[in-house]
Amino acid sequence: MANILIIEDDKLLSDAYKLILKRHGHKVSTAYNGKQGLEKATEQAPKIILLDLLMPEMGGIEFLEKYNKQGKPAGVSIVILSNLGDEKKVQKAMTLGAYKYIVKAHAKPEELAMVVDHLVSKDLSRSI
Amino acid sequence: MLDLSELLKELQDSTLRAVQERAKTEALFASMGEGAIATDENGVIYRINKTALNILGLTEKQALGKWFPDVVMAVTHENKTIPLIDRPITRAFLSGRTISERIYYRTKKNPRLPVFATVSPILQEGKPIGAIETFRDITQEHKVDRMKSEFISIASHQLRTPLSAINTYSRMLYDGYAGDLSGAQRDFMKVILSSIDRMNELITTFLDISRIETGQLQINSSSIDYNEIISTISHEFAQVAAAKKISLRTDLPRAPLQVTADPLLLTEVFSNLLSNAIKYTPQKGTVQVTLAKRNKNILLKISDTGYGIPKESQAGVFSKFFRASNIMQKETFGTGLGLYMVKLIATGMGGKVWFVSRENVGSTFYFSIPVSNNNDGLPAQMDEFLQQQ
Repeated sequence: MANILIIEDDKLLSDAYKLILKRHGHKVSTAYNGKQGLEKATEQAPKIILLDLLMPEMGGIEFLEKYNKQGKPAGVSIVILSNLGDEKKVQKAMTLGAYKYIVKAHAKPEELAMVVDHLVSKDLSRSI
Repeated sequence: MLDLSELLKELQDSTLRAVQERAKTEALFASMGEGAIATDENGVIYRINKTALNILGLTEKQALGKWFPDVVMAVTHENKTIPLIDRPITRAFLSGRTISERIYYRTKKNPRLPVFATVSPILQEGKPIGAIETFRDITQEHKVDRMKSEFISIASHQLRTPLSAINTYSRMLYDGYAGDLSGAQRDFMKVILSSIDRMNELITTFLDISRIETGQLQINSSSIDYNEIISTISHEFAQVAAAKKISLRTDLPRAPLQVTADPLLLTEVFSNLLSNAIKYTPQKGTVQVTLAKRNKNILLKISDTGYGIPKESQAGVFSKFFRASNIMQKETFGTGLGLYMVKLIATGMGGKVWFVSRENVGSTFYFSIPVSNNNDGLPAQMDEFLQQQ
């Protein structure tokens, strides 16, 4: 089980991801933009963050920049969930420390759960 | 024998004709809507029309009697000066052939003005004695192209937004997140899911093409084993082929085949060609994949015993939205964008793609790339291809 934060402005999608991950036994909290995400990331200390890129108020790239600047704790993995076809933004997110990029329109519930489980086991083996 | 007066008349007539011809040429030159510059065999400008002067922001005095490359600076998309040897005028002189291409001129007003230039050598007994360069400002066309591609990119992204919820909730339904489904419900869901896949495929293709056309495609070359890529993808397609009882055969070298290329783009090209071969081959047919090194190139060959491409459709195979006339009658799903993209990528990688095909016999597509290619960026041939579209 892991503590997961979903930062996604589309409530329908956020609800769906939450349901999928809860079914897989994870503890899930949600934020609807980067600004809220930063607050929740500080409060809840999640191990995995699912991050959208295009959001009102504060997008995913700005979130990553600020999160890194305020001192992202070691062992936190970030998965980008976006529909952007813009390679530059996706690459920028990867250089800012994102672990993987998933296209939302293609994402399968099992794939999402698998990526999260993989990150949890990776983190566990690191701590052992 | 001609007497002197006849000779004189003959001379006067031919002088008059020459003057008339010259006046016609001058009028033609001056009235052309395109910029036009004439140079002698040394590349020295002896005539330039008003349109050219306007486009370049020059006066006649600044151009006439000057060496063409000094007057008209040509630059690349990245604003680097094009070496003399690579300029269309030099290539036209050296090859004796007409050269047409998109190029950028550095003018007084614009450091990178896009133009479409055509240089024709003036030949006398096969030797160039000068050249005529015509060109037009294509800034507007550039803008429209870019806007069109950006529009597709934005529209595709917008289409993905509702599709994401449709996709996620449909898959959750299918996976039993809302309870078990009956057999019929599962069958219906399969239809929905495969339509979602098609929609996704279409949007991804639109986005890829718009990326390539706006120059956003990045080529990340590294040393890779071509053999392994072909083998892995062929393996992935084995099931699709088996579902149509198609025999998918591969003839690959035993040893690794190292090339310098972008693995993702290579995968894109091969997946498209192989998926077409399987899609357009009827049940129980054969698809053969062959990979071999030929001198400094690696040749990939994909042959099928499929429907083939009718002769009258062959010229347009690599154009956007192409669908062969015989395929339109067979209810096969296709965007008509796959081969267009293959050609774009192949050219972008410094490679070549071509085919031979006979209707009701089959098609063979060839894709050749140099073993070593340090091209990290899109070469000029791609611009040429885009220009033809």
